[in-house]
Amino acid sequence: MNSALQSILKDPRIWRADEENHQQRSLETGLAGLDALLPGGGWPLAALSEVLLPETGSSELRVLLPGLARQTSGDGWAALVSPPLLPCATALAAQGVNLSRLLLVESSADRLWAAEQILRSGQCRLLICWPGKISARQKHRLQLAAEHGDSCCIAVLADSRNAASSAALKLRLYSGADGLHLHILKNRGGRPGRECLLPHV
Amino acid sequence: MACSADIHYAELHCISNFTFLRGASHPEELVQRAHDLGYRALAITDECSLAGVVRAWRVARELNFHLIIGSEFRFDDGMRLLLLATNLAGYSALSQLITDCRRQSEKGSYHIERPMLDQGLPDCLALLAPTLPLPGEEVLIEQTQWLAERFPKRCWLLYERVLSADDEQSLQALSRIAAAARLALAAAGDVHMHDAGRRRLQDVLTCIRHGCAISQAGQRLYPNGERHLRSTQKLARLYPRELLDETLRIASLCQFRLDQVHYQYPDEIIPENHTVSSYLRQETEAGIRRRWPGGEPVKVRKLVEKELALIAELQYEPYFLTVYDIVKYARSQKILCQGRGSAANSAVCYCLGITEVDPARVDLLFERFISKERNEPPDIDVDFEHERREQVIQYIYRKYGRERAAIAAAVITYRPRSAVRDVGKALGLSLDQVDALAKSLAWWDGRKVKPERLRDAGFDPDSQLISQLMTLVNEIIGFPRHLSQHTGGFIIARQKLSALVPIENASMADRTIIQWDKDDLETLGFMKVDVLALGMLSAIRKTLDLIENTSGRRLRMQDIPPDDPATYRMIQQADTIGVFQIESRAQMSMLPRLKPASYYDLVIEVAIMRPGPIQGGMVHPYLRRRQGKEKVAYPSDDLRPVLERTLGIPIFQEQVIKLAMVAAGFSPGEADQLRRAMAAWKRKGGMEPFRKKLIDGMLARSYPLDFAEQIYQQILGFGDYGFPESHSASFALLAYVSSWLKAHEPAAFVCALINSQPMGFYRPDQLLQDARRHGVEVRPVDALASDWDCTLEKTAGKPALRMGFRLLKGMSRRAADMIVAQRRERPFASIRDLATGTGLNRRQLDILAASGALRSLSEHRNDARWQVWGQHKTTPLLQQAPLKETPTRLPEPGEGERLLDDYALTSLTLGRHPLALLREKLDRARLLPLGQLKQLRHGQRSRAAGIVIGRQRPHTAAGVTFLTLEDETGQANIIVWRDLAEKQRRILLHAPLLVVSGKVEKEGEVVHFIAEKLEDYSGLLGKLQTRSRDFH
Amino acid sequence: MSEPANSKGELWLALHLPLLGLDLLQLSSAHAPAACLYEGENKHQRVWLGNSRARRCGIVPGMALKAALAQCPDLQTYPRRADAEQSRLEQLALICLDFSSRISLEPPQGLLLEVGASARLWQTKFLRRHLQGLLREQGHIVYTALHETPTGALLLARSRQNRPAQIPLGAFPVDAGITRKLARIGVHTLNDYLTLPEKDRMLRFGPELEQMALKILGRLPDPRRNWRPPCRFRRTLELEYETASAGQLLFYARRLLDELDEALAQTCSAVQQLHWIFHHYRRAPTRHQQQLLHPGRDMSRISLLLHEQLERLPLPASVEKITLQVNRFWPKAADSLSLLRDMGQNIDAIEPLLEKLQARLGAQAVYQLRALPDHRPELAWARVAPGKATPPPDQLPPRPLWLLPQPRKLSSIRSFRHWRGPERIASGWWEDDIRRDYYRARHRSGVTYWLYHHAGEWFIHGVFG
Repeated sequence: MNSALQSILKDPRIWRADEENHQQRSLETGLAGLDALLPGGGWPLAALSEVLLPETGSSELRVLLPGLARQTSGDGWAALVSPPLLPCATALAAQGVNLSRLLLVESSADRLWAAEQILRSGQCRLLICWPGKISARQKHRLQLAAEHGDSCCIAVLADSRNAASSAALKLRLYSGADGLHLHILKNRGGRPGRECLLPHV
Repeated sequence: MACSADIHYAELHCISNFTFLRGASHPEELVQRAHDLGYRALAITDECSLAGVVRAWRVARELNFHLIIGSEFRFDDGMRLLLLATNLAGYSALSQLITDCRRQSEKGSYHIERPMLDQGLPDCLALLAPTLPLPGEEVLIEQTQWLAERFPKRCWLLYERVLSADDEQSLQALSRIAAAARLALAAAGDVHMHDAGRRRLQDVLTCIRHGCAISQAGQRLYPNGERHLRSTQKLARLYPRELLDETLRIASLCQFRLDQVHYQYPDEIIPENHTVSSYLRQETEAGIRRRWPGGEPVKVRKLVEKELALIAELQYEPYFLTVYDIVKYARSQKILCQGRGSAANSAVCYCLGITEVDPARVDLLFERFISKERNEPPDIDVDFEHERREQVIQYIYRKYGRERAAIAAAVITYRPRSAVRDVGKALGLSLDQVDALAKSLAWWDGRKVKPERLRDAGFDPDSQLISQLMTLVNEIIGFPRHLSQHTGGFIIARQKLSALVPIENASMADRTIIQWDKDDLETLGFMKVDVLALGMLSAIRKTLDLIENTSGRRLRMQDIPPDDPATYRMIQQADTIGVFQIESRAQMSMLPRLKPASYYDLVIEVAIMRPGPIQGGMVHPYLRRRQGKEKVAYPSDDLRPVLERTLGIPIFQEQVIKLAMVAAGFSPGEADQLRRAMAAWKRKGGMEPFRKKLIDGMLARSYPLDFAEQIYQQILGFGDYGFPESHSASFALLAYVSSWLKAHEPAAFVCALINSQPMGFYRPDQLLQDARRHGVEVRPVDALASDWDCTLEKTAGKPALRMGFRLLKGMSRRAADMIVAQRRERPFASIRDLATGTGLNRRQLDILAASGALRSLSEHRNDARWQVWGQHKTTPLLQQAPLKETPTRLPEPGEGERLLDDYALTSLTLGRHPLALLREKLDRARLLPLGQLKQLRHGQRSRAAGIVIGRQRPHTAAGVTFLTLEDETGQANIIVWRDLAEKQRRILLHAPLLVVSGKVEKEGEVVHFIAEKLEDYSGLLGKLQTRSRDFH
Repeated sequence: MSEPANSKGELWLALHLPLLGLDLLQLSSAHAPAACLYEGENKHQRVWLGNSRARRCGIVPGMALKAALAQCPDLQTYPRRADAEQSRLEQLALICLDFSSRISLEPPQGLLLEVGASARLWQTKFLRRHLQGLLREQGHIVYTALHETPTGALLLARSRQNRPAQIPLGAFPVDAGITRKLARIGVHTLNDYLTLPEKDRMLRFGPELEQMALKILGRLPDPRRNWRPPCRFRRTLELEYETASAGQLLFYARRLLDELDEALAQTCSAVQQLHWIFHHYRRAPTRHQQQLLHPGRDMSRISLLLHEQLERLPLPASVEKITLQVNRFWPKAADSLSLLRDMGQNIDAIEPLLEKLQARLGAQAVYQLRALPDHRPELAWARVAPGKATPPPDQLPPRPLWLLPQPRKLSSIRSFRHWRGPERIASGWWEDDIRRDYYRARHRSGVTYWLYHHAGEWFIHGVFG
């Protein structure tokens, strides 16, 4: 393959409907069980992922935290945009998150604008936002911004049925007696419908 | 929930406030509380220390409570280990281990490492108490395995549930580890406080330890107050039953009691072929022949026989011989010494030369000598010349070795000032605020911090911060802060001392102290010899040397004629500046009234101006009887023998004790308890039961209530500063000797006093002023004539005193010695000569020039300075060809300037008094010279100015401040009552030149000036600096 | 003593402001309460200057502040601000520019004007009086003096003497030890000093004083450095036509920024704060302030930011003039950024993003978290400005991932299972006292919560998830 072509193929905006083992670039989630199920072995880069759960502000951080810790451990930044509750600094630090590399943005009216700016700047490789009610068009804007900045955007959303979106990955979380279930609803480049379990602490 | 009745528990992990700045309760409080809560036992496990155990033991013994002795150790890797003594051998090993850990570290710290425990401690139990949050499981497994190998079947793992995060996981983890290592798990509480109420104080201590403010302390504090002695019900809720039961099993293995520690006197003091008895007998007989070459009086012989019998019966011979040995050493080195204390004034001690108080002259005293009833070691304190005591101390170390001799500890405790400073800082006050607050507690404040003081310093006593501060300060006062060395209490043991009590380093190099103080030693019956330093002995020895040098006459202390009328005349006129004990203001105001005319009068004089008699209101009745204004009468015939020697008025501590026995029916044992309680009540309280017993007892024997109440007050007063007759007797002798020297050899006496500084009540300049008033010629410092010390110069008549270089502020001993040495080789011809010859630095030359010490080599001081400043360090080559200097005429300094220099350098001018220079101004302000105050009538009002040379506020004098003012005409005593002192506090404390308006009060020859208003005239003094000695 | 020969025909006017620092606080009048300025930190605080009432209480410069407070408990104390004094001297120098072009700042308390030329225009007496008046209007106490040499004029003003011979040696700004020494042999004035043999006095008292004396005598040169007014930037641009369009305003604003860039380049400086004033016709102008995180000179970034802001800036009318003003130039090297770079933080890359977010959302809304070592959960964290390195505390007790902004009271705990605890947190008696028993418990929904019990009531404080 000549190098020009190679670089074109590397562009994340070029989507290739290959089979599962295709080299999708990603950020490790830090959860071995989950990484194994994802085609790139982690949260897809230059893409929007959705995490759905009955109520935001509960178990999503358990899933997202290992990834945050990895992303902030070196020189990289991560951002949380309009989280529904206060992320607890002590717990974050205890889980290995480098707090001086974690940007928090609080805004309700401008949260999507902020998320887009951050994604487009390319400065934060991992952005987690709680956009509240969000339209398909807005999701699409986030997707474009993530592509532009080559970042990973995770939107945490309250579970609802009419979840049409352009997200590369969709994950549903729900609690069971044995622990927290992660159910993959949509998995671009991989197979949906698989599930893994995070036992109760 | 388990029923409380069948819950039993022994707390095995508890530190007291002798783990400094961690533990927040006294050992006594902990034992009492553990007992009240129904614990089966309590282990005091202070960190690498046994300093608090005797205090705990005293309470435990009384409550018949099982006290376990142990200690906590922290290793560098974070391991925390408790060792508990099961028996005497274990206790000794523990004491030795603590000694080892402490001796290899700086004062106040310790270091332990695992190899020190490689042999295990066969008679100790080891408990591993992991700190929270728990270290990783691998770490704990390693630690338990290591421990189990060294303490097979004698080690446990502790689960300390103090309601921290994840207690349940901790328990599971510890259970796993214990099971794997086959150890049992036991409950413990990591106790820091006897009661949860001490929580705040514990936090504050943590802050003090870390040097941070509480708002900054964060996680250095404990997250909650659970580290206290908790009720057994609560413990039952927190711990599995088997963990509680395990504590009892451990406690039952610890059978050691502190009274198993047996002290033994050293035994090498006797020569071969002697027993202790025969040797003591031999030396005593030799003494008798020396003291009474013509044969001893019958009375003395009887006394000696009685004493020897008693000593033998109680087996105190080694003690007397030990003291005798030390005194004998001092004497061989020509170091003056003098014993005091009950046993010191015995006839045996007189014969052994331990004291000069002659049993034939005073029939000594009450039976405090030693008594059979009290199982208490005899008490002999020996004072030595203060500058040479170190020699004696080193002799003791040499003779017995550091293994066997050490100094007792003095427990330094929080006092109001240090408490305010530390607590204030911990509560986040700025350094300025803390200082303002601490300063507002001037030296005379009582034990509590008064709200007025806080207002003065600009704080609101009602604010939350301040009320917290006050509460905490009051709580922390009396808390031990660190161990220091006792003034001179030596413990000497037959065997290794560190097997009896841990030894640690003192701050002074080459000093080691044990971890117990004198009360602790007394509790356990340890022998202590007090090797004390007394400046007056140095001064007396130097006076005797000077007399020998100037007159060739060798006087010894025992040669000084007793009952010299001239000496007593001088004493009666209160002309006692510089003499021992009776020189203070209060004493001087008493002398003309009491008019001492005999040795025993002096014994009374020394003892009467003390808190005991003053608080008991005994001073005035005694004076009235002494002056014949009141008939001598006795409360009862029974008390006549007790009070006869003091005109029916109880003065001495011994009399009060005896009185409690005769008049209130105390048994000898109870009387002894009273004596101990008396010494300790200020610190610990606990006098109430005695009050009731005393008053009930006296009422039952028909003594009036007033009298009983008075006696009780006097007892409380003795607690402040108990002063027994046995000490007075020794002190009175020195008072008499020093008075005789002052009266007959004033120049030598003042010279010796100054050369023994710092000591005594007066500054050198005051002593010199006094000497000049007594006709001693004082010659100024002169580089051609002075030595470092003051010297006596022969004249046609009486010798003159030459001021020594030591009186020049800033002059170094080395420089002075250099001048003297050079001068001896060749007299100086010029300042240049002196400067190059001695190589003195500019500063030293400057001091010489300014003080006029170069008077013989220059026109005047300005000229001397000019010349001195022209001196540069020159090479030997240049020395031959001096730089040409243009002759310069400088203005001669005026009298005022000279005076300022004199004061700046020596606090003394041989010229006119500073107030003489101001006299014109003072006259214009209609201020009376102090000398004229005496001529005023009783009740007359006046105003006078003077330099403040002394401020004194005895604790006992109900808030009265005694001021001493001085001007060119003399000195005057000013009395400032409490109200005025409070109102004009700042001026009273700080102004060096005061104008006092007030009223004259005369009583016989005694004149007092009662201040009504104070004014600060210090502005007039300009740069003239004066200082006053403020005494507590 | 002979008057100095001055070949250059210079005449120097000295202005001495003895209480300058206190003037700034309006504490220098005779009626002001006792007050003083101090210098130094903590234990080394010393009085720098006291007003007249303080002097009457015996407060003298150099004494320990604590001693001063002990002597005069009502004393008001303020830290000395040398920078404020310096900038006031500069302001006064600006005024003096009207009278002389040769001005020398003589901190801490003086100004020198060469008035040889203007003295011919103004009578010297009138000139002095006029300047005195001007400075008094500014609230200063001022003493003036004229002399042919700068040193002479300054010392005369400082000592309020007429003839140099009378100047007390204490007025010389030399080591106080030297003058004290001289006083001790009865040498008090310049005249006294000059009667000492020249060689011998050098030997004893060193060159410092000697040189000053020689300067006054005109025997040594006494050069002064000319003061120049400092850099600032203020330009106003008249628009060719009025407009309220953000795009067009930005176009003009860029021109002003170009000028600013040039001014910065000349002085090798950077800016942190830019004041924009948009003037309207017959209306109060609209002001806008731009604040950068760190001093910088990246005009394209500044203009990008301005763009963002202009779009959101409400303008009441169209704009006819734009003013750009910068009050402070920063030295380029001394920015805090380089410090952060040294710490290995690649902060500048994210900085434009942070500025952009803060410009729109406000500084408060963009932050990072910091874990603090406090037991009380509410105080165990803080919001800090992004880009700061913050080490976490040593101990991080197990905590839930989410905290509620406020603990929420629970009416019932019946739906909770699997209780664990308690962890007792009782701390903060000195300020915000809390006493709580914390438990972790699982709700019926499967979510684990952090609950606490306090005074008989239950609260939910966090979510473990």
